[in-house]
Amino acid sequence: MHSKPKATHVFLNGAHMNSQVAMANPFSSRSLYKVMTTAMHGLQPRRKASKLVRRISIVPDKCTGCRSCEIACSYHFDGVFQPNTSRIKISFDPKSGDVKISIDDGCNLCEGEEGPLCAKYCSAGALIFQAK
Amino acid sequence: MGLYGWVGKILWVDLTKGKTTIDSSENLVKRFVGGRGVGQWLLFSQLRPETAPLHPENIIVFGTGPLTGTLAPASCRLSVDTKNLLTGGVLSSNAGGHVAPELKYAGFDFVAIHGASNKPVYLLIMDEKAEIRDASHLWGLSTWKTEEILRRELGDPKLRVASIGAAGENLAKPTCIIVDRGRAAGRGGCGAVMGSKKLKALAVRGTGEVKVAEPEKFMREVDRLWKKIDENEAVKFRRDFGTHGLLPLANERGLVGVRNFQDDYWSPEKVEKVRQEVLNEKLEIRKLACFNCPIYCSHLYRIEHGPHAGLVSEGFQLNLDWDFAGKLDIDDPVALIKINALCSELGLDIDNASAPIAWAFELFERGIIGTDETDGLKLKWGDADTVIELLKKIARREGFGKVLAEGSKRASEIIGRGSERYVSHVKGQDSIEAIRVDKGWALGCVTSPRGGGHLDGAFQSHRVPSAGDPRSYDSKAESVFWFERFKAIVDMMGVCYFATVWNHSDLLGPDDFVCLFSAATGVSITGDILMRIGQRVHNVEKAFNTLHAGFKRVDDYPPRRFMLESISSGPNKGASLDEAGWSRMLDEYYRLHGWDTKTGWQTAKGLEELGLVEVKEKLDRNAKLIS
Repeated sequence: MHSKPKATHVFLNGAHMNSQVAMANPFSSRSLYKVMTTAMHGLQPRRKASKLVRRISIVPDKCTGCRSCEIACSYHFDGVFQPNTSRIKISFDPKSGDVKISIDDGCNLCEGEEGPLCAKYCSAGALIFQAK
Repeated sequence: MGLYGWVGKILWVDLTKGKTTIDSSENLVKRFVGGRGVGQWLLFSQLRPETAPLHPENIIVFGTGPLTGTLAPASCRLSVDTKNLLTGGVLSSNAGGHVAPELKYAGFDFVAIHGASNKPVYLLIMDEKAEIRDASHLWGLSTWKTEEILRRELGDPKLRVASIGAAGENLAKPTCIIVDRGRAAGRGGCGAVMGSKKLKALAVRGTGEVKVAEPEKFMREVDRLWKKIDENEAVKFRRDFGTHGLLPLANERGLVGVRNFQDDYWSPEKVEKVRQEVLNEKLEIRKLACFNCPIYCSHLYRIEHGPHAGLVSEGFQLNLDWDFAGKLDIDDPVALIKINALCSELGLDIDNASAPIAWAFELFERGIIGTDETDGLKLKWGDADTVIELLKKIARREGFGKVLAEGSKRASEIIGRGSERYVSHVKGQDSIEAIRVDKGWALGCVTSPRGGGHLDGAFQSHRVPSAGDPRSYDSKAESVFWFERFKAIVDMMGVCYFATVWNHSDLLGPDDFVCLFSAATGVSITGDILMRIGQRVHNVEKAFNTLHAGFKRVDDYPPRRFMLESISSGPNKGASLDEAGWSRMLDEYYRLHGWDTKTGWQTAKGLEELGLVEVKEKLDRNAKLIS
């Protein structure tokens, strides 16, 4: 077996997380996150415990328009597959071939995961998670 | 308890009455899983054998699977099931793109449409609601324009559209349904079936969700398979070059028919001229994927110069090489892209549209037809402009195009004069694959229930070590029998065949579908049971063909040309099919299925073992069952 990031929804390792709340309702913690994390559009979160810079860099030219990022995003927040609620949105213009990728303020870089799921499932390399 | 994986609803649309009803899909999916399985079962159980494909009573089912819309890799397929306009038997086709997942987000696993409207309509499906709407203003428009106008009118750029073009409206037989501009549910004339119902399009938008039963387990499986796909050599190749990249190899293996199958080897110079790397360098502007597909085998091209300058179009799959490069000897990649785009806009099926044109070109070459019959056109191999002209005529069913719009078998009955000899068809539908070399490929193509086609039991022998020498008739039936069942599973799940062991032995196999399916639906299952359900679906299709089209053993024989004429050049020179070898292979295939070797029909015992009592009884009532 390969070692791979776990795609689970246990948010217990965050120092600022109320574990009971997270456990009771692990899949509907959107508002909770809004309160507890800094909105990170762009994305340079301030982490109290470390000086890590964590961000998603976007390379629209590489995007294939598959929208795996959208469903992975919705899974992170709600535990279901529902692109309509995703914080990342892909729009493809078939006439020009242009792709636009936007990430809204609700993004929390998949707090609790090893990295943002959108980047993890971006096989084409249009979304790259950087942590340094 | 709610359903997981599935969203639990089927939308019934009666276009004659202008009514829509919503029903539970639970009983259907319990037995036939999804997509093709459910679609074929609905056709079998509801259609009368005497119903013609273009009659209002014909049903067209758009289906998704339990994995569609989830993060399961390549879970994008939309199954289209209806009565086949070219064979009179079954059609199950499927298209990629984004319509299928959108349908699930809108709350439906299936949409089953019957009846016919008396004026053009389209079906709007939005968040658990459906509405039949006027489409007078869309009638006559291209599929591209239709999508554009619907998105604009409804003010939603995320609206997903499956539509027909002028060809389907005009009831031409070589038609398909176009999804997201460049993806097609082809073969069997399903575009004309929609046209006969005056149904221009399905427009779908959903903001709902697809839930899975065991999210963590499901995601572990997704991760495992995602990694498997990411690391696969065949996937890397498809990402870079698409299926078109296989052209040089396919040509060496005798898989490219040339000039209406006069040969199965194209000139290497011409191959070089159109091969993918050339396109990548010059014309490609983006790699594209269907919904949630890590393989992204599609490519977007922009033509900068010449008569087609400004065209932006997706897709250059190996089928385009078979259909228009080899078969019509067109070696200009720009012209091929234009032809592909034109077919998408007109809603023409590239496979079924190229075949009658190639046949006509050969008749012209042989002097069987002349300019008086071709509306003055001189049919010269490689002449893309004439091909484009004929495609437009077929779509309008105008002049010589009206003859070609029948498909080459019917067209040859109209023309006569020995033209029948140059037709290659299986069960009445134009043949698209070159099958003289690889016998596993050949058997699968010819026995495919939809009437010829490499997307059922056909496999490439070099990818399956147990199949042995591709040229030999030995050890092929068993693999065809295996792939038939497996493909049915894939089509029921709503996943693309390219993501599976059909493409490369390290990709997704039955056990992987067991893991995904169980975690998604919460229903435990084994690989054997899945393969058995696959076998059931195949048998339902077989019985439909027996009842509706009267097919027998003789209909499982390849086109005569492949027996009478051997390959005349290249590494496979001399290869052809022979009747004795074929018969032996076919006997073995029937025995594996438990079918009667003399008639090719199903047996009471075989159907009982599969739990298909209704199928057995219906065949029995029609005196088409071997007891």
